[in-house]
Amino acid sequence: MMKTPVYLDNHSTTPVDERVLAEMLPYFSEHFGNASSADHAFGWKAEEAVDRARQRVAALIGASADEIVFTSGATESNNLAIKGAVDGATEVRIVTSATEHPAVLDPCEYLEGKGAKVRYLPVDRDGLLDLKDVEKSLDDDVRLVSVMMANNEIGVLQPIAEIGELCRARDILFHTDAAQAVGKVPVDVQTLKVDLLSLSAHKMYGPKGVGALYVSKNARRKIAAKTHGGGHEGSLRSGTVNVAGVVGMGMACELSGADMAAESVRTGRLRDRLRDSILARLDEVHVNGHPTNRLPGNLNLSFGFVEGEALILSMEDVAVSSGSACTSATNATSHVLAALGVPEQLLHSSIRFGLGRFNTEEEIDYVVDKICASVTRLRELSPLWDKAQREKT
Amino acid sequence: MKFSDEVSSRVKEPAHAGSFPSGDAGVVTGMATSDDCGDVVQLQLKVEAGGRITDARFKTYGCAASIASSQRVCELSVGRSVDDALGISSDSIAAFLDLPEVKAHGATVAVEALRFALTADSRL
Repeated sequence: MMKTPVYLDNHSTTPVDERVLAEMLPYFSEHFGNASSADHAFGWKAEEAVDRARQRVAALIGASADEIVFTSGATESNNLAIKGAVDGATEVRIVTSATEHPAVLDPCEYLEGKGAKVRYLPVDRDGLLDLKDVEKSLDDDVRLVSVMMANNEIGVLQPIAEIGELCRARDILFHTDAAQAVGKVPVDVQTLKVDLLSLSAHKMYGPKGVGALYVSKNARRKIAAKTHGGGHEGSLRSGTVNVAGVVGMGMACELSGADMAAESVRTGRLRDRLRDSILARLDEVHVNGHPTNRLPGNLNLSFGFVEGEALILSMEDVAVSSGSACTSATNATSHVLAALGVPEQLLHSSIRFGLGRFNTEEEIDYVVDKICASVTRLRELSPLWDKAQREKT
Repeated sequence: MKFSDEVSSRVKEPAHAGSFPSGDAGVVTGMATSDDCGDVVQLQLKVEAGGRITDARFKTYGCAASIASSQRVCELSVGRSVDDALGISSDSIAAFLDLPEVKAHGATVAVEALRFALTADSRL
């Protein structure tokens, strides 16, 4: 029996896998020690668990365990990577893209306020960077390049390995926010030639409040800590390690790595079924982002003549995300879709579907019916739809 | 965004949604567009010879606040005189629907469409 509401917002967060939870639970009670307590068995047990988790995280991304710094999540990892790389310097430049997550854009803006320069590279209509633009931007003053691996709204996968090659040849630090990519598509830090990589547990069926920053041995000397107080995590991130959290993250990485190929095919098929069924039944629906070069679980659609928030409210029992908030206070449309050149009217009509490990074909068919019925009803309500139909005939 | 039950119920089952058949006697139409977000409201009122509003219909492109506000304006207009209906304020609609401040434009555009309909001044 299918349960409602149907959850299709897996880019926002994912449920904790039961196998992850089972692995975590003893570290809240029985093995509650502080991993930094070097003088007794409670501490040793916790340290052992953290070491094992570190190895599991490293294995998923082709790193070595001593290159993994545990944090509270990808936002903190991005802040550490970006602020840590620039660390007070003013005569330096950061190169990033227009479609980054706020967890990259906001630290960049903060550093701009402190005197650093930031170049925001444009993307094409599919959401992809042009490698020629990247290459041209790599002037002598560039300290850091930060480009996300998979976009959180449109799932588009940037050419990270190619950008890594360009940066490596010029000895420029390269950071990627891979929070949406890790566990969904293969990530290997050696192949990608990245120096810094952010990841998060709760995007891959692990707990919230825990993440990691991969810091290559080369980058380690070039990054300054942003949190001080005890020298944890190789002095890059002080603070008692969230033992249960990192144990969960380790298990989440292990499971994602083991199931990735099959899960990717299964999720991709469900996403294609969702997209094809909606496009077959409704006119004036536009796919945002590259048609194929994207995460298997991502679909971003604009439904012409329908406002996104109204669509979400009118579809009961379906949890998806609107690309915009219709407010009079701020311009709250998606900066990602705007960077793709999506027309103003369609910016207000976009919905992000994030499919994941636990979605079923039955759920997808239910959502298709709900979407089609709601869009049809809201269009019947829309004077703009009336006008467009009259102009057609 | 989370909305009140008053908004949700009106978006899910808007009793006054639609339009009157063209040629219906006594129908006045007003259209208004929100400068803030592009929401569009078309409001139609059936006014009898004595100046009483006997029925109302709306069509709205926009967010839940604009749809619910349009429905609420229709509910309040039916049974009132034109003069009385002109006194319906966007503040009272926003308060009844418990709209957050950033969504108050929904009530504003719906009431504007009502005024355009009743004063035969329409713009899109």
